[in-house]
Amino acid sequence: MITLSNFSVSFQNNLALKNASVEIKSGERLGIVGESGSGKTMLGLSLMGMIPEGAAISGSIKVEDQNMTNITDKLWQEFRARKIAMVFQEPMAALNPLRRVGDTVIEPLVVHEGISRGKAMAKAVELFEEVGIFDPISRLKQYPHELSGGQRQRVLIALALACNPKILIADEPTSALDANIVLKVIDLLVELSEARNMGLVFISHDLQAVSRATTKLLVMHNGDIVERGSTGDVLANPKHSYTKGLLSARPSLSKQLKNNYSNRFKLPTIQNPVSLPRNDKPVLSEKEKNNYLLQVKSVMKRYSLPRKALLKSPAKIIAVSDASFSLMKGETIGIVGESGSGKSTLAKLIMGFEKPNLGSIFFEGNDINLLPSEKLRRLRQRFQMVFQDPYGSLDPRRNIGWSIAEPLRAIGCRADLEDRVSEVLLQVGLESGDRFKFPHEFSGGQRQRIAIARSIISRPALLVADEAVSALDVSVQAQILNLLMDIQDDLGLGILFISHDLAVIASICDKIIVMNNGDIIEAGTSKDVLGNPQAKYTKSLLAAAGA
Amino acid sequence: MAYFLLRRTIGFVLTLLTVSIVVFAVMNVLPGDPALTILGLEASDDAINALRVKLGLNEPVFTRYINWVLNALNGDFGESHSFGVPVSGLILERISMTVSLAVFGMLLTIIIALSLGVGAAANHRKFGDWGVMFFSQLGIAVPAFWLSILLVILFAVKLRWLPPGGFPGWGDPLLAIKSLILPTIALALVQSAVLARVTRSSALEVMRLDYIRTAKASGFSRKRILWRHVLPNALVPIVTIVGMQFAAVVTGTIVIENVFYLPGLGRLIFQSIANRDLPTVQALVMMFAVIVVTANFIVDLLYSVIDPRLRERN
Amino acid sequence: MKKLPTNLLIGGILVFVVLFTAALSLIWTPHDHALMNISEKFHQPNNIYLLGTDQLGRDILSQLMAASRNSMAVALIAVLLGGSIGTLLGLLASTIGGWIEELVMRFADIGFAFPALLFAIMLAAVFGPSLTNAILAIAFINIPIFARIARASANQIWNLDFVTASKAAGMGRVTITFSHILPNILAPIIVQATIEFAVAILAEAALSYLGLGAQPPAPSWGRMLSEAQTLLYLAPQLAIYPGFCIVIAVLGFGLLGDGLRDVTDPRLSRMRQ
Repeated sequence: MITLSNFSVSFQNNLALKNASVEIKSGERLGIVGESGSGKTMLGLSLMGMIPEGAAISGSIKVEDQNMTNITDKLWQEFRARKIAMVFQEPMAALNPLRRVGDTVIEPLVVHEGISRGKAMAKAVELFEEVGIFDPISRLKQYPHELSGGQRQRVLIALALACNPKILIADEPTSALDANIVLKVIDLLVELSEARNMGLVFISHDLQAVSRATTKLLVMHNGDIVERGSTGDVLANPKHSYTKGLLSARPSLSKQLKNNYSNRFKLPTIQNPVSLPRNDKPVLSEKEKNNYLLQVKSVMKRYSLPRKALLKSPAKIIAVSDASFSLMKGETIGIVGESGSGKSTLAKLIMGFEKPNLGSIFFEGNDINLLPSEKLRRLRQRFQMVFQDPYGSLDPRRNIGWSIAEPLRAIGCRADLEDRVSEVLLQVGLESGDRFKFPHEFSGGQRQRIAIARSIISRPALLVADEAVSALDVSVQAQILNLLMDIQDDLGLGILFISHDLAVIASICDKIIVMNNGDIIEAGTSKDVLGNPQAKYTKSLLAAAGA
Repeated sequence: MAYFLLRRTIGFVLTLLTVSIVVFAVMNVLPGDPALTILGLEASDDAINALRVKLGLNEPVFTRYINWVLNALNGDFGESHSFGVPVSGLILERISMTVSLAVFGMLLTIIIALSLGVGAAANHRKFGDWGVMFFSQLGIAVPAFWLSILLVILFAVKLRWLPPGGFPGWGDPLLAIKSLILPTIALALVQSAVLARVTRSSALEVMRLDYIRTAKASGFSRKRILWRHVLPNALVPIVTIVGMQFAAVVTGTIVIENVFYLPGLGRLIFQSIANRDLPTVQALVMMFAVIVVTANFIVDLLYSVIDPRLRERN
Repeated sequence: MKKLPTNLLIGGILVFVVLFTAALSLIWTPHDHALMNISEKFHQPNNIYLLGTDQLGRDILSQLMAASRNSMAVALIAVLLGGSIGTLLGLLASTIGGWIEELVMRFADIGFAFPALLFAIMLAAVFGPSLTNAILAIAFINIPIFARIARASANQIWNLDFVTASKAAGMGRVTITFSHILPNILAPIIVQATIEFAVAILAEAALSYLGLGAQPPAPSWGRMLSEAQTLLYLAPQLAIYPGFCIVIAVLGFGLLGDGLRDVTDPRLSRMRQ
């Protein structure tokens, strides 16, 4: 139904899409997988004629035998929503915040098909039911900010289906959603495609989502389509080296790399893996390994919401309730949970950014909330943090050498700063001369290395990694995880690794703690939690991760 | 929602109160004897004292402030030194002039600015956009009073189509309107330059957002997307600026009335300064400040009408 | 260095011209700007008087140059004064937070209730019109403007991860304020300052026009315009030159401010990546 032939898109001599040739028929489910910069989004946009302005296009595109190459936007409007529809990534931002969702969904019906408002509303109710929204009649009257992420994505899918398109393109439709909703949305899309004999193009970086949603697959890298075939085939027997590398770099539940000293993620060979200087022997003796590094005892944290009415007292939300666990020297503990589970709050409490309402936190035997502030400041050298967003964690106005040395300056240590900065840069796989450069000169993965360098310069005993790899591409993620494991071996670090991604945690953690809604649902060694989960919630997480 | 309104209203009242204290403080708690200033250096001590008693100047400051506020709430602003009549009378005579000028000016501004701003955003990077950008830069740089003078040179001196100033009263509506044309245009052109820029940048920002992409993917025409999706969402920052422009409109009318010799509150203020007529100046400054604060308050309330997300936040 | 936006270039040139003229007039003008010579009144532009003379025989060009000093001085002093106070207040509010922040912002709101003109009127009525009062009035209204911007920007920076990382490293709030927050809010502050210079020049011109600014014999563009207004039927050109100067000065600073904003806007710089 849609045919792209030798289609290329470039911006000022930068090729975003190179000679892509694809055919999509109604009823087919095609997956397009790749990392950022692979051109997959551009391919999706090309199918809708929504390529950004200023692009040079070559090649041809046909929809239902009609030549669509280089036609005006006005002509494309006839096809959008009616023949081809698209759903995008961030459901919150994709809905007009000033309109009720019902009004948004009926707009294409009223405008394109000339139906009256009343009839359109009835159709909207049908659509909402089709996409699995409960109580559609009340939902129609709500505003986007009153709905959850999953509901908003369903509304967007309903919107896309309104005029019965023959093909639905979904660009990263599940990336911004919580793990247990992801599966439901994927299944919904597959159902819709089958029930309506509608073609589905599923674009994602998530190999697992794609394998569940599609029957044919394209793998993209740097604007090229490097491999294509049936989904099962490509994933089981990859032919191109990039595909092979992508599959091996991906963390999975079965790949437990920790405790096997030399095991690391294998990286796609097209990349330039960074080679690091390494020790050959582990640093911690058996005796040292049995020391408590961190002890969390019955910690509770609650927040007050802003006041809504004069006479009622403000509502309170319990972010973390009765959390207890211990971390030993050299151990890696993973805390896994979805947004709102309390894991980030727990991280803030452990780092001492906030005080718990109840309970205590001991680091190396010291209760961090009872220490005088000067002593706490000194103690901070011993536990450091790495954050999620590589773009926000470095001061853009300072060169990275300055930023890396900050923990040392904080305790007034001025000697040998240069040397220690250089040393730590080499340890993370960068160059000593890089210390004069500024953050914007580095890529996301490199910035994360810099952040890690900053966190180890004071020779801490504990590293708290809060979603430290969640914002990175699969191959970069693998590199950073390898780096963390190497550094842990070299310095004898304990690591507290917080993530929503169970597969990542499974690969690198000794013990796993599962959180949901502020409670610790389950905790134990990785082997136990993954192999023999007790709690229902843990089981659903495992299912969502593809166990 | 009711709680939100309550909080806002309390804030409004507090602001008004503080503003009144500031005005009173600046005008009264100062060295210098108003009675002496009014009567002149040659007046006898008895006369000065008598005036002081009459004006209540011997009372403690706090009492004087309370009296002033209470009287003002009743519409009594004291007596003008120079005209010898109640200030409230003076105000009533002139208020219709100032209000007409301000309202016409604001309306014209909004019409010009919204059309230009949205049009510019729709033609981003093309001729229309550059044109509007240029006009707005120029408009912001041109002082309103100079523009008025230029308009007078062109339309009154050279072409003799319109009067150069003055106001003949509402008796002859045609002449009255003619006298108001140049002042309104002068006021509106300058303000609309500012508003057009804000409209344009706000519209451009909204155009970059994801829900506009959704609208495009739904196959709607550019026109529809612009007027039904972009503009309503761009209104919030625009409304802020319109609110802030009330302060500018207030300043603007004061200046314009003086340029065109229109008998409004702006001219009254100037005459009062020249005559050192403190009660009148005090009353007028307070009035203008009240207008500005009230306008901001209304704008604040308007936000929650326009944007449903704000109804719940504090 | 990428290509400089046109705004920046044109604005920069205009600002340079005006500042240069102001500085130059301190040591040289074609004629003494205050020298009156009734027999030479209302000359058209010629070799001696490049822009002609006014109703008292004074050389117009010299007056314009001398008046530029006035505008520049008022704008620079008032904005620097008001801007520094405002920025410090905003920074303080953001760093300390809590009810102090509320209090400071409430005071800022009061400031917004008084346009510069209104405040100048109050001062003039009580103390009599003068240049100092004009400067004070303009400085006063700049305080809340900068306080708001400084606080809003500072609050945004406090939320960023690198500040949290500093806290994790053990840095105190005051150290963080001066080593991380302040450098990162300088860009919007400088942009705003440039734009406020433009606004200040306009405000000073309006005040002088109304007689509330520089008093005679100090020259000012605004007052030249009000004098010229009485002579519109005789010599309309007298009203054109001073206004033109005001426009150039205001346009210059305005374009410069816009250009600076374009250059420092973090969204634009991320788009370039």
